[in-house]
Amino acid sequence: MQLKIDKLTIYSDENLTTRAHLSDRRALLGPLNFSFSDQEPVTVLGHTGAGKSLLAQALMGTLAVNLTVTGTLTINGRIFDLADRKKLQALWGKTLVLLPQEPWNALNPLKKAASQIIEVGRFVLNQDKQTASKQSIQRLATLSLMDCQNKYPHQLSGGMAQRLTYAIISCANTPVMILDEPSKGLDKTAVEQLFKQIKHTSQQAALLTITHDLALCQRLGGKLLIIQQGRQLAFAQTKQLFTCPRLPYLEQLIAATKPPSIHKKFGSVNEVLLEMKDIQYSISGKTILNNVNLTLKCAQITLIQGISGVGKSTLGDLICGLKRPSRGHRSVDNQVGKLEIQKIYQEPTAVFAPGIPLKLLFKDVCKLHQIKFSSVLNGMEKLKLDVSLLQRDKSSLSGGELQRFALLRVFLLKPKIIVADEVTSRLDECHSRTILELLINYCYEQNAALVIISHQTEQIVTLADQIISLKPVLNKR
Amino acid sequence: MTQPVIQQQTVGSQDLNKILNTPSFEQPLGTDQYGRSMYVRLAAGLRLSFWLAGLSVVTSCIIGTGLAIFAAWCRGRTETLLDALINSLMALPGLILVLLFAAVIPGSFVMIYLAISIVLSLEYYRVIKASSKAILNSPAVESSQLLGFNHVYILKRHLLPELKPSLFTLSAYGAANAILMMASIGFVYVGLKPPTAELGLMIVELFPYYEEAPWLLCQPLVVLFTVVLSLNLLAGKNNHAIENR
Repeated sequence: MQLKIDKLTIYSDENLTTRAHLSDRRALLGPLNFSFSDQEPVTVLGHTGAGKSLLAQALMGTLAVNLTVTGTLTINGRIFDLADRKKLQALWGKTLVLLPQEPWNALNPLKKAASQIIEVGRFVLNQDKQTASKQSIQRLATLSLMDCQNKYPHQLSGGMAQRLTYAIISCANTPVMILDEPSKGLDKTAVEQLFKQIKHTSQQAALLTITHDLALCQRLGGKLLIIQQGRQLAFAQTKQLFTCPRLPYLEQLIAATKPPSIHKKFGSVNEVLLEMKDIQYSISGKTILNNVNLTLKCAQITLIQGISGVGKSTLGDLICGLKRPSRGHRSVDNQVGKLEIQKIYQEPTAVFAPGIPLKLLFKDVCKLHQIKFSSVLNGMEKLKLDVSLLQRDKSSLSGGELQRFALLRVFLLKPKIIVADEVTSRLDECHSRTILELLINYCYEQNAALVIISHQTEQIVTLADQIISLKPVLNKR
Repeated sequence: MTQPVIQQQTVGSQDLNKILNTPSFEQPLGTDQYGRSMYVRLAAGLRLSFWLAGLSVVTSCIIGTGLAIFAAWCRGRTETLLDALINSLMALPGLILVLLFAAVIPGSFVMIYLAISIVLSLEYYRVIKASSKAILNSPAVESSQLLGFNHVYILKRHLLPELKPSLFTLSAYGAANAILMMASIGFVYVGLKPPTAELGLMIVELFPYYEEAPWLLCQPLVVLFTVVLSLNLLAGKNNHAIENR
């Protein structure tokens, strides 16, 4: 299978009336020229907002109607006009398949895992019921999802949902596969499992992987296409690009994966802020946490790690007092006020009220806690946020910006304990590094305790003062 | 709606010399079986329908949304109790409930208004409770609570802005339903009493004359159809807006 993409360019339809020619309008993406085949996979690398996902949408024919696309896609000599979305959509399932970015949203919430795979066999491969269900069980077994057969998507963890979506898209043996951020939000073990599968499929299918994960793209090999702000920066062998001398852009990305630079303050007071003893937490008869002990001290970084679904976030909520332990004792020191335990969330887009300008939300916080609005502006300057961003609501801000706003809002209250729940998993390396640095520096400056819940542990392990590894609790049936 | 300003005739003024007249210059829509002006009566009927629709939509919106948010907030036993109450009311067909109420004091506008408000508020409760629960469970509300904001703030910044589109859709459907319900009970003679001009009642009164004067029977039907259709289109348009967000 040989694929070639020629002059793929995406324009936004804004100012359509004022500027008549396509060439006059600013292109959001492109022009991109590259090719890939089942012998040579291609990885697309770039920052958040570089237009990587637009590329996937353009190839699948799912671009929003207010975007115009030009260029051609050649599959084994057949030429497709990218503007003809209907023709591209006709290729779905048989020739072209996409692993979407948020697998959770791609699954049918009302159908059990196995039957979502059976559907592909029945309607794409035209198998009879028995063959389809036999095959679906095989697929589930190869991805070690046997326990999930009869589970609904909401009962699956992020990694499981990702693998299930992968099982669905790969079971039709489609010759061309587009993977959009396959490793986003996954823990190390899940990425490992997924990688094995991708490697296996890449022997049969032409693979286009879109990612910002440098490790993944190095391991995938093949060719690398680097996009910076919508422009094609390089297209060459991955190995060649990663050997010196590297492009400055790549250099910058690599630098971001190294641990953040922090100057630790010594001689800080070692007071205990929060203590949890023999904590047990069960929900609907299932024990999630058992015998967990934890002490949080001033200016101390605690790392909570473990595979996905093990109860890391639950422990975070227990620390915040958002959930109550079923058994065990939680004591908070007197110097920690009710509002001085704060949480930073995984999904920065989810923590602000929708449709309301951030300025209003920050004014609300200031009014409630009698904080001067100037301290918001000072904080913004520190966090390198532009003042004009305050006028927008959350839908027109990027993940990295919103996460910094979330930090700022929490910092305003000068909390003594901050629980950061997977704060970096939705961000690219540059942004996640900034966020971590900000959090850790705050913790040392204000003598606060920082709890980091993460599966991307390499960055943090060296900085953490204590590491709590959670293991799955065995439930007796 | 502007009828009282333009014309001096009242809803009840009869002229037995001019019954079942075809539309003329004097009577733009003709006259009914008692020689009353159809134009005047239709306008009055329409005004009555809009009044009732407006009143019951506002009342049911307040009751239904209030209870829904209360239940979503309290959860536990309060929610179960409210659910049981609402579900048992929902098990009755809405029209039966209105008929029951209307039968208590026949011909009373207040009773009809109360009954329709109750029926409409059930729908509000069901829809709003489901979305409120989702909103109250969201990280956004959780983080606002951690930041120390109280219930009023969460209502103002989180619940109401997000519920507004659904409230509008529900209200438009609700208004259409209210108008239809009043017309239906008028049609079975349980609603308002003659000589009140009410769309359902007009239809049933003009029914015996449909062979001599079909244009008369058509008028309230067309008005009813147009009003209900436009309200439903309004609701549908807003639905598209929600989908496109």
